[in-house]
Amino acid sequence: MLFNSLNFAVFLPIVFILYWFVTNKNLKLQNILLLVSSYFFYACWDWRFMFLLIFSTVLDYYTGIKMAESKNEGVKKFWFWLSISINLGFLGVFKYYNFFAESFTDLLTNFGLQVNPWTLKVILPVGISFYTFHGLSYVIDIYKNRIPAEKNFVQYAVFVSFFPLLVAGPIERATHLLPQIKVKRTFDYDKAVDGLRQILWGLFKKIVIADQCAVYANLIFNDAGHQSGSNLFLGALFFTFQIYGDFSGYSDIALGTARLFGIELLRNFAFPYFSRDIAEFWRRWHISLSTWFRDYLYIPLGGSKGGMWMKIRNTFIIFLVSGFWHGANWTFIAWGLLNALYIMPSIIFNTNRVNLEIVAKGKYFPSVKDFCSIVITFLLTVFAWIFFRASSIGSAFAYVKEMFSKSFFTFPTNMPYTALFFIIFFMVIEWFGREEEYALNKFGFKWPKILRQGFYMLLITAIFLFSTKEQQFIYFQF
Amino acid sequence: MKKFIKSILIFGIAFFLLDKFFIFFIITSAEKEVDKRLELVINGKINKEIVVFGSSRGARNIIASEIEKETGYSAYNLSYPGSNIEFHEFAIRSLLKFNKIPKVILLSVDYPMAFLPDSVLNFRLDRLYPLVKYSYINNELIARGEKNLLMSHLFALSRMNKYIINLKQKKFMPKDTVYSDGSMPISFQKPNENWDKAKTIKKYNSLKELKIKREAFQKIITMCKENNIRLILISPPLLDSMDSEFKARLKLLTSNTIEILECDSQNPIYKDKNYYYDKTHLNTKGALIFTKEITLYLKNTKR
Repeated sequence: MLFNSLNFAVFLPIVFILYWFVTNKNLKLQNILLLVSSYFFYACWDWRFMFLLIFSTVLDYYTGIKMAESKNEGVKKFWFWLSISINLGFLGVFKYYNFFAESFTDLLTNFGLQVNPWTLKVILPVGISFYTFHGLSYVIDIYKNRIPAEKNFVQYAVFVSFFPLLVAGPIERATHLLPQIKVKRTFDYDKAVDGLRQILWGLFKKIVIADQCAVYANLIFNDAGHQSGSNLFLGALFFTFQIYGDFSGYSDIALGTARLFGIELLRNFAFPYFSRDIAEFWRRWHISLSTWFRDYLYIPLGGSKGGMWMKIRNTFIIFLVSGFWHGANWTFIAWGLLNALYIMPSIIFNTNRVNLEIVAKGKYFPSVKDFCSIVITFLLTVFAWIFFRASSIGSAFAYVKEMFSKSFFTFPTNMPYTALFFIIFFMVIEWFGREEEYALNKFGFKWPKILRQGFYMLLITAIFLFSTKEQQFIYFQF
Repeated sequence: MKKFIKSILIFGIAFFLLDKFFIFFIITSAEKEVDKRLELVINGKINKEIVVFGSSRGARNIIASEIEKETGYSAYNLSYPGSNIEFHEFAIRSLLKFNKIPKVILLSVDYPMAFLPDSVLNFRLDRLYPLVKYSYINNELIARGEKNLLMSHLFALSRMNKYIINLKQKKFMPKDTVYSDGSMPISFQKPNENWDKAKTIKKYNSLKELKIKREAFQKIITMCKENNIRLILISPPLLDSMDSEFKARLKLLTSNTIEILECDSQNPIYKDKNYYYDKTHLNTKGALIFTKEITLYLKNTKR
């Protein structure tokens, strides 16, 4: 069930009504309803993978209790590593096995050895990377004595599989979400309206921006061999907005939906394309994943405490793992590596925490210096996305080579003006709303109510006009 | 909670009323179109004996008026640049539903992408949306998962898409002029075309074929058989050489029961760029020669 589908438009009000009108007096019932609806939501993708989700949930729940009960460090360690191995094992089998098998075969072929690898013909269970990371963070936190084990299975299961975040995040932490699940939620009008507004903005990003950009990005990337340099640049630009609109749109819908149920999820995006350097970009892009890697990988590896070389090594590890997390393809690893290289100067010169605040706070326009920094950072990002989008490393290099040829200076053929118009419109709103949690949050609050409502209707009209077949969200494949 | 539900209801009703203004675009969009061929089909105005279907290669390489002149049969071209075989199936289905059954259908088959995944050739939704006032078109969009039955009856906006929002009368572009016979020949050459011939012929890989495209092709064959229409598959010339595997594949898919008209590969004209608009489409000069080849075939194999 996609967020941008009619099924979800029916599913959401039904759960909402049951939640606030039928189960509102009893926390236990509210949580059971959330769990049942979340499992139903997940089963709509493929009911067979429900068992994997339930197994993973039971395993981590049981591990948590066993670790908390254990007085013996060895036993605690046993349960910890059992859970980690099984969780990563599932991820390895379903997501990475074929990649390793094929890469190994390619390697042997290069040495003149012909082998027939045993590959798995399985589809990737949707959301596996996300719910596995939920479970991992929970188990690690208990092992490190940061949180107590959750005794109530339903509450823990809701934490893992709450439907707005189940298939593509944000990657939640037990410390943030579990306390909200444990207390009774009361309806808050302002929160609910805010939730709807964020859903509207998310749908606009997905349907009007991402899906439109996808048409042109696909057209250009799939036929890259016959495109001029300027067209290829346009293709990369469209993909840049496609992936942002798609993923941040998804996150907005997830956050807005959760808010309708009185639950606040972690923020996932904070206007990353207005970043002044790559370090800032990574503090603003897919925040829940970046902070996950920071807390559960970078810091345990020693973080920045072991001197410059340690810092550089750990940064490379983080970006390579982050790239690999996105998918079993060398292109994602190259994308991670490229970002690691981008961020290196700021690591070496210790300038990675210069731009902590949003750009031009309290002002209409940025300074010339900030503007130039934004443009440079943005262009570096566009370049990196080529590797993310390309089907192979070879095609990524071919794309880049042709893009920087003489034909880069020709006018692109078939300029999609409508899509460009909407991108500009979108970025203007993003700019003026950049100090808020999401762009539409307080946008137009000083206008007369009728004008603001009219603006929302305009957005809905655009969503209707641009909606076609339900388009998958990119991050579902991760 | 009451306040929340009340606000949603008021907003919903206001939007529902606003939506009704968009009926104007649904009614007027067909008039703004310059390529009226599909509307003529739906209105039963294409009652011809020979009809050409295909993508841009069919539209540019085959001149229906020449066929008419040479064979004496009435002819029309319903080829749409950028369209795939699923669209051809839809166009043939629509023609048969609303018009007299033609005697001959000439289907230009695109080498090599007719059955392969391809982003250049699509189901031309932009040709359907301006005609969404016709239930037949709306139902087709619903059947294709583009629109929802209930929503398209509730909201005018749900029937529409961005192609409809247009107040100006559209005009023909030099490259996309549809002549009175439905053909779209081009008299000039594409600027900046790279005329270098491909050094190798890419091997056709039938394993990559899409089932949905093969099914559309089979539907075309079935429709023609059921309606006693003579179906002729046409493989238009290309400046670069073709892989013979594709031709073998076509024969296999048709169980060798459908006529396949291949252009005369020995004809030196088809290796001369002066007869081409670009490497995959003939210009008018080339199209006249190719059409002559077709008419000769039709005359020689008259049934």
